[in-house]
Amino acid sequence: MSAINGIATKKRIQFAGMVLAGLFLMAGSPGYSMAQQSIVRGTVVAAHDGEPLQGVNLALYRDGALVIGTASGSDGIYALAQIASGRYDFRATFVGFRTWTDSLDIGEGDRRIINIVLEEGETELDEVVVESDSDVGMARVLAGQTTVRPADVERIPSPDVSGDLINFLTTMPGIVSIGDRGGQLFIRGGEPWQNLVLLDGMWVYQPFHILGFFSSFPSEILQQVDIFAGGYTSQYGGRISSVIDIKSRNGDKKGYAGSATVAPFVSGFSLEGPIAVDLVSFLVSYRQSVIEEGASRLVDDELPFEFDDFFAKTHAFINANTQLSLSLLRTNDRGSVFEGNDLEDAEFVEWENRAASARYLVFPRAFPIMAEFIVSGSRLKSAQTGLTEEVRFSKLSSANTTVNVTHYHRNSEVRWGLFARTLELVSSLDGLYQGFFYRKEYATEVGAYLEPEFMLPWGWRVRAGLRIHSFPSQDTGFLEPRLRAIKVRERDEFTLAAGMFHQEIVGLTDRRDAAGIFTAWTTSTFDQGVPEAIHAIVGYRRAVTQRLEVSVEGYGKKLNNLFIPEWTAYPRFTTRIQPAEGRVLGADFRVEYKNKPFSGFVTYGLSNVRYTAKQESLELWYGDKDLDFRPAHDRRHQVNVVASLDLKPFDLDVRWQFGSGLPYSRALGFDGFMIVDGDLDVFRESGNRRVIYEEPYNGILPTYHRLDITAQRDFSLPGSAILTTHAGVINIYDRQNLFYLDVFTLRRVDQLPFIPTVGLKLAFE
Amino acid sequence: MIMDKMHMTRGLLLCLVVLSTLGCEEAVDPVLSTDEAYTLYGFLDPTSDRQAIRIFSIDGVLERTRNEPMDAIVRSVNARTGETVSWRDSVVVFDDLSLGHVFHAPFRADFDTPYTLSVTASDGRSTSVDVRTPPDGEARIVDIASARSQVVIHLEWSSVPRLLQTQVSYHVRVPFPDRSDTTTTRVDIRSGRVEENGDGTWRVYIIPSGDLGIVFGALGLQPGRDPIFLDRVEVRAFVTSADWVSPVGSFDPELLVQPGTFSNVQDGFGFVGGGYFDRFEFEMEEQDERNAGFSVE
Repeated sequence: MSAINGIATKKRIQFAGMVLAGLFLMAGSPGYSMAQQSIVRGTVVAAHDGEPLQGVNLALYRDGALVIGTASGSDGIYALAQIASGRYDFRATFVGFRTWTDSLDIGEGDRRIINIVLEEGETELDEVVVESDSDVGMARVLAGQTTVRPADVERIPSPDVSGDLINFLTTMPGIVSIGDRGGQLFIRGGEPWQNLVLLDGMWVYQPFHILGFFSSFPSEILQQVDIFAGGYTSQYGGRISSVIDIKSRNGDKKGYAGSATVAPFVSGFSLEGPIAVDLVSFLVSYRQSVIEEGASRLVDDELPFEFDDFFAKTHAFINANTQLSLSLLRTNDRGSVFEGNDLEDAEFVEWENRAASARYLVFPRAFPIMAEFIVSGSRLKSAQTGLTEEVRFSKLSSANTTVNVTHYHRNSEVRWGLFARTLELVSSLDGLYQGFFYRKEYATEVGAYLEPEFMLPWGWRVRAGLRIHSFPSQDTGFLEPRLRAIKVRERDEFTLAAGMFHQEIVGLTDRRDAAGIFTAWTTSTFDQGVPEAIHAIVGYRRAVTQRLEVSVEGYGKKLNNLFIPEWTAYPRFTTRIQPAEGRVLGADFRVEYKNKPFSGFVTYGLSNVRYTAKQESLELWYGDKDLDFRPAHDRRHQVNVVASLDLKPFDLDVRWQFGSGLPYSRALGFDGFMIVDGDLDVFRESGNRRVIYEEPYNGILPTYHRLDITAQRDFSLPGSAILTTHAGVINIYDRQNLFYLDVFTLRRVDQLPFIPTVGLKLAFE
Repeated sequence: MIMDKMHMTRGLLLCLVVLSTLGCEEAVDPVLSTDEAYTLYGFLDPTSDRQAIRIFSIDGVLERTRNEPMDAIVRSVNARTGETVSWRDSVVVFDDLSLGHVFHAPFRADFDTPYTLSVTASDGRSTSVDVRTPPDGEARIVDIASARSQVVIHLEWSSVPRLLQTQVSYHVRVPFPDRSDTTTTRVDIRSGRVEENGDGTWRVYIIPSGDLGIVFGALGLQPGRDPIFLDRVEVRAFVTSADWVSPVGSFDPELLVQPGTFSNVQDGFGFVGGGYFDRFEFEMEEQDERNAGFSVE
């Protein structure tokens, strides 16, 4: 079922394609969907700004009794399908909004589109909640999926007045960040290049800024983020570790709003408003690092990092049942992570993302479906440079087309979709990768998926999917079965997920030390197959009280056909690769408590990652054909404590994080190497310096922990403007956390020390 | 409510006091010590009046080599005669402007003789290597297979433990552009196929007809237009001690870079062998030269 080639493979894919085609027809056929019955669909938006609302409870009542209910999904879209004809009370309820009601006369075969506008106000608490916003919050994890809202992001302390998605991500158990610089996230044992990050359907290849507090996603632009730490649905593919699917806000359709921030790390602004009231809106956000002028002076140390990001979006309700949005993202990063030593100059890494997308949503009046069409283009250019010259570079460009269709049934959905991508990959790596100095490749991916949802006995809701992922340019294809299952029983929730994943486009990086953040992209060309992962997740969540929730999730991953850098005693960058296998075992524990004025959560991640390297020379060097080791990102224990306290008029946010030490390779000493293959002239040949390592990764770096505290206060200004003052301290007890250890010079590079931070944000609406 | 806030604030302050005690640096020791003291590279050459070995000290920190003497006393002992020679340190500036320590001694090593080379630091740590120089080899032409455009010369080296590489030098004459006279020159080619016979002798195959294109290319001349006259052929074979064998067959630096992979040094790393270039010259018959593609007067 893994990598499949040749005639047998093609036959299997053709057969699977025929099966999928048949199922597509069934999914869309009137008989299967029982389309003779009626359907009510539409979008739920907030009255004050026109933003879509997700998680709104929508229910039809007849004679006071609940008949059918659902919750709005992303983009605020809902559907109530297979409704028998008759007269109903239609209610929409959402915390923080007034209940919306209407009377409906549903006839035989009616296709109603009802767009709902909810007014802010007190919720009537005696409303029957059909399905609360049960998918939001740190403890509310559904088989690896955590859904995040901007409010969750903003309560994590950060050096900026506004929140940033990455600060929330790094509080999650199972997500390992190497440090406060580098912008690399390892999710449940996976490597950064194995994560899929989507923003409005755009692939963002290197989305996290070089300074670890910031990503390309400030909280101002976020509507909702779905983080799949594994076991993701058939809609997603091409990555073997995780998916971070970000939906941006549409912008205010009622009036203009905006903000400007000034802080020691970044300053920026955002602006949004209607282009046509209630119909078309725009949103623009720009941030620019000001570290040299700000934070560097605060810590009295050179922090050689620069970055900026720009996001723009326009969204339109074209008519009652169609929406169109256009999004644009541009980011730039440059900085030095390796600051040089006695033998080598400092290395600079720079990268830029460019991405654009058009997203069209439609729910045709004639069919009980919702269709999403996305066309996007993305480009990542990255380079590793010396002080003066470019040393290595990599460029990845892709054009993506995706169609996602949802068929609504009474208590379930059937999803299917098609996708096609074309990619251009260019790299120049000094001949370090397969002997190529300059390499240009083209690749194509096409495929389809089908994912029906079933209700099984004993209350299990199962989503079983099959994805065909084909690479015509590589003459390779894969069948990827996926499964997600949820059972809700009063206050308990049981979840399962499993799936198979493949990644043909891979990132090459040198992970022998933390400074290796330059990633070159290429197609996988190993003979034994492309990287493959098999995920399994088992979860349990319990609402202990209305205010207290706990969840635990166990997970396992089997990683096949991995590429890892060859082990070598030569210092510094290498892209010579070796095959490896891997396995990840772990468990995430989450406790969340919400009771005003206090709210907070504690997360604990337990993880065990092992790689088995299969480099041909291992037997020569170590006596065994395989080398089993803990890779550099295997953080065994990780704890995060986040607390928010509403001490009117201040808001106080606190975060403490702890991580056990990461593996690293200890050296026995340093000498030199010369190849003695004949008439060696020791007066002319200089040789190379060499590291005499112990076996790989058998040392453990010190533990990491840090406490951050921030406080905010809002001041109302004339003209509906609000001035937010922000003050805080990063690393309040000045823990000297190791970021990077230069084993060549014994020089340690620590993460950020005690940093007081202040900021101002002026917002208007 | 106010009491709650006070309790929370006090709790927070208590936590801060406790945590502030953790704000220290945790030491990390990334470089473990090793008993190995030095890394040595080179070979003893019984055909040279000066011996030289590159020596790296094994340090706890990677630093540029400084222009100062290395803490090392280097001696070689002829195990057959007991003669002991002290070697001298020199700091060499290489083309890449890096510095390195090359120890050298003005003596000619004996053929087929065991030597012990020791390097001792002031703290008593010592690295040593036992080297046996190869015997003086003998070479002869076994056979010349000559046909039009195909000349293969079969040489045989006897009384040598190993041959690592061969180099062929073609001593040729080429006319001036106006053809008024000729000038002599030499073209060196790392060439020749080396095979071990079962009886301890080594076969070397030289193919002048195949090398001719390289000779034309090296001299910037064109076959058919420019004549090249062959004076003689010189074959240099690098004869080594028996232990000069790569564990992987080839001398791939990516494989051999791992310390200890290709080493005969005790209490250290690196490789020191015994070796020399053995030279054999001969002249070809006119017909063979013609068959190989050279011009004949």
